[in-house]
Amino acid sequence: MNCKNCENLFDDYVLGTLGSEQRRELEDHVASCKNCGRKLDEARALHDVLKAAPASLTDEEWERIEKKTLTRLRDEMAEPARQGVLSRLAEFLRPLLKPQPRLVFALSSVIIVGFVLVFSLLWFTSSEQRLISDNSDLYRLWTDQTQDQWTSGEIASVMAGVEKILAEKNGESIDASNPESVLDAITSESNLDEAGSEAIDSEIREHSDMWGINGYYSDILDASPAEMQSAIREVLGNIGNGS
Amino acid sequence: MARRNEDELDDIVRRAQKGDDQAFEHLFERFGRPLYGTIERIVGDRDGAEELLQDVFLKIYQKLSSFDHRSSFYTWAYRIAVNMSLNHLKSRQSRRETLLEPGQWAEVRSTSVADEDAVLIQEAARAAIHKVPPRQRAVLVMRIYDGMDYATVAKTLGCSEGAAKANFHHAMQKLRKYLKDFA
Repeated sequence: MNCKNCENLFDDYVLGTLGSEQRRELEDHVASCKNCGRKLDEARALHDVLKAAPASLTDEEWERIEKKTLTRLRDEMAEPARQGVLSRLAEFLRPLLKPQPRLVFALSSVIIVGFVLVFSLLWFTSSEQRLISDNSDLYRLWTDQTQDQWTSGEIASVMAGVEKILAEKNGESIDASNPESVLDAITSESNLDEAGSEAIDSEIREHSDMWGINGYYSDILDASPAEMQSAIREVLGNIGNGS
Repeated sequence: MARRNEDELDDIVRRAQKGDDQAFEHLFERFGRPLYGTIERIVGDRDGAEELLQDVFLKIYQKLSSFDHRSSFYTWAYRIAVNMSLNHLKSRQSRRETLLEPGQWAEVRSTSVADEDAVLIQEAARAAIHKVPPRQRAVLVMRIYDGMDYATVAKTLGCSEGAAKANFHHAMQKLRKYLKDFA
C-alpha cells in the first residue's frame, strides 16, 4: 500500500469500517511511514473534534420538543379530512397499486381467455373456416361446383354417352341441361324402379373421387357429370346384363 | 432478545398501519429523538429541526400504509428524515436564509456546556460542518454520527456507493481545511 492509497483510507480506518485485510495493510504502512503516521493522527484529531459537535439535547429539552411534536401530531391525526383530496385518493388507491399476485393472475387469465375467444371468433368467421365448420355452406359450395360442371361444355360429352346408352335402351332423347332431368329420364324412360334409382345413387356414393374430395356428399343430384355418367354406365350395364 | 424486540416493533408498526394512533405515538417516542439528532445535524439550526421533526413524522403518518416491512421501520423513517432535511436546506437556500453564525451557537450552548474550550471546539465543528454543501453534509452525518456504511448511505440517498464515497471524501477534505487550527 502506498501513501496515497493509505491517505484515502484514514477516515474509514478511524470510523472502524475498513475490512480486516485493508486495515492490516494500512497499519503496516503507517508503522513504516512517519508522514502517514502524522496524517493518521490528524485524522483522529479531526474525528474527535467532529464528535464534539453532535446535537446534545438535554432530557428537558427533548421533553419539550416531544410534547410539542405530539400535540401537533394528535391535532393532525384527529383531522384526517384536512388531507388534500389527491393525497386521500392516493391513500385509497395505494393498496390496489401494490403488487398482488392473485389479482395479476386473475387479470392475466381474463386477458388470455378473452384473446382466445376473440381469435376463435375471427378464425371461424373467415370464409374457409366457416365452410369447414358449417356443413350447409360446404354443401352449397359443392353443389354450385357440380352445377357449373353440368351447365358447362362438359355436359355434351357426358350426355352423349348417356343418351347413347338410353337410346340403345328406349330410343328416347332427354333434356341434358340438368342432372335432375337425366335422373328422371333414367328412372322413368328406362323403367328403372325405385330400387334402380337407389342403385345409381349408391353407385355414385361409392365413387372414390367424390369421397376423396371432402368426405361429404348427400344427394345424387350433386354428383358431377363424370360421376353421374360413371354411375349410370355401371347401373345400366348391370341392368343390360340382366342383373 | 433482539428478535423479540424486532417482532414487538413489527407488531407496533402493523397496529399503527391499521390506524392505531397510540401505536404511532409509540413509534414517535421510540425513534423521534435519534431522528431529531440527524435532522438537526443536517439542517444546522434547532428551531428549523424542531419544525422539520414534526413535518417528518406527519409524512411518516401519511405514508405509513406504503411501508412494506422489507426494510426496518427505522431505516425507512431515517430515509424520509434525511431527504426531507435536504429538501428543507434547498428551500432555505432558495429563500437565502442564513445559518447561525458560530457566535450564535456559543450563545445556544453556553447554558449547558461550562467548559469554554469545549464550547469553542463545538462552535468550530458546527460551523465547519455547516459550511459543507448539503448533500456532502448529509453523507457526513450518516457516516460519522449515525455509523452507517456506504451501502446504506447510498440506498438512503438513492445514489451509487461510489457517489456516497466521493461525497464523504470531499466533505472530509473541506473539514480538514476548515478545522486545521483545532485538529
